[in-house]
Amino acid sequence: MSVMSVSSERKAPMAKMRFGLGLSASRLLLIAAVLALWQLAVSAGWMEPATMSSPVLVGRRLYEMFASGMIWPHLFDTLGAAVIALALSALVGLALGMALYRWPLLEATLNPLLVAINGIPRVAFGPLIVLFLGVGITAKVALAVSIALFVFTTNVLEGMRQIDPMLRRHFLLMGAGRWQTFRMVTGPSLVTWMWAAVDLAIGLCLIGVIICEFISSTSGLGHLISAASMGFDTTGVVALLVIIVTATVIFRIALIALRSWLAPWSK
Amino acid sequence: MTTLAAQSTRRTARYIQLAAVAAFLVAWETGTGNGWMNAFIESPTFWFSTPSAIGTLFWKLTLNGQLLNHVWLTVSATLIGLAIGAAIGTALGILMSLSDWLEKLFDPIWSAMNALPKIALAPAFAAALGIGIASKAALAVTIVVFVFLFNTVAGLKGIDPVVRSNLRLMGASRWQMLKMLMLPQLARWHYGALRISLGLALTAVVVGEFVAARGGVGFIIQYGFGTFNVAWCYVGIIVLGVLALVLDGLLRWGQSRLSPWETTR
Repeated sequence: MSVMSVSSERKAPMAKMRFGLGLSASRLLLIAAVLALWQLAVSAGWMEPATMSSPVLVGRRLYEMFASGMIWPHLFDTLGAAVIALALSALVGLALGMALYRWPLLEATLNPLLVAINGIPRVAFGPLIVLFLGVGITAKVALAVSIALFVFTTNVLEGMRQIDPMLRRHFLLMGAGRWQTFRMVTGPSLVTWMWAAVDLAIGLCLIGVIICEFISSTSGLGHLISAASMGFDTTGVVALLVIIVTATVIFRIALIALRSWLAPWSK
Repeated sequence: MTTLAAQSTRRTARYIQLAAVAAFLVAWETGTGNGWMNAFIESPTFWFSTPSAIGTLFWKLTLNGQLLNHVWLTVSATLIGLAIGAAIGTALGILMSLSDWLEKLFDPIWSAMNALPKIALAPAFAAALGIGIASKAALAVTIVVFVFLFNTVAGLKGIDPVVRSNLRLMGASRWQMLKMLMLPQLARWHYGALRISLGLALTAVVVGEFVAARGGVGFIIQYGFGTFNVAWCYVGIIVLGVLALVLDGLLRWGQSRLSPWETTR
């Protein structure tokens, strides 16, 4: 950390002198330049609009998707499955992590199984899950949970181990009950670990749902992307990617706001 | 005392594990066909296959060389994606470390691109690059690049400035700085990056094979799914698991051989 601050202090005035522009302004300029270049290349006829699309085409498509309302059911399908999967894996992961910590024999027994399952790309189970649960939201949630669950479990387990045993002993000594210890020691320190897991799991849940939609689905953003790609509809693919990225960013911002409201000490 | 207790816990756990695996396999084998599972669902063999059928299929595919072919397709796509992604990511990382301004300018852009679920590009790559190995490797590259980019930047930033100025003070040339300071530092970070991105690349390749392929372990699974031959799915999953463990084991072995000053976990 200190390295960074030292060098940035040294270089900051120089950078300002040389470019005379704020950092965020240059950032925006860079993005605008890339978009403009893309549009120019297509408009000038250097690139085929059919294969390369263009910012204007993507913008128009996005407008069409939202104006006609065709996107909403798909959007809600994918995001809903991701949210359910996130909540479910957080709950089950928390319970599993606590149980593994509480009973060492259980942990020693299940450990090789957990390591093995964690080692296999969970995606491999996708087709089997779809076969068992049918095409629909259940399969999407199941695949996403199978990917995101272990992040929570390992984080909770690690978080429990990181708690100062002295602190816990002090609480015991002062006559704190099990619930009080959880509320005052275990809970607050687990919150930090849970949020770290949530941060990772948002992306994993979304990926799990989208992969499931690739395998087999009748609706959802992954379904639309798959359909657009197979129809060589580049504009559609880019527009859908924009929607997914925007949704992820909004998702993340909402969760960060929730965190600073629920657990202000964890940041 | 504690170690003794932990040891006995571990031994008990071993017995439970062995018994559980054996019981699981027996229950699976006897339950399917006309076994007890019929009480709960119709035609359990269709849904779960049987251990013996899976073993037979595995043996058959091994003997006629198909399995090796599929494994090779997956492994080569993974390794190509890993190599290209690592090269591009490291180069970009070094470039970003050249100037603070450049790094600050691009940092949120890289983060945003990294947050994009790149797996979603799988059908697009299949459409653009065909159903061969190229589309899978490309998908792996888009994911691996960022792991190496972030690791290179963090690794170069983590170099102790005192060591750096000491080396410079002692008159180290640029090449010597690279060889003695940066590469060992990057080696440590790159092993971390390699192990993380190996799993990610394998996942990307398998998803690519789900979407469109003529071969590969993901293809085996998708084929079983498409033709309702569940045994194929199980063979694919098992092969994929073994593959992931073997590749990870090789990496760890390579790490202990190539940079013995690092203690492996």
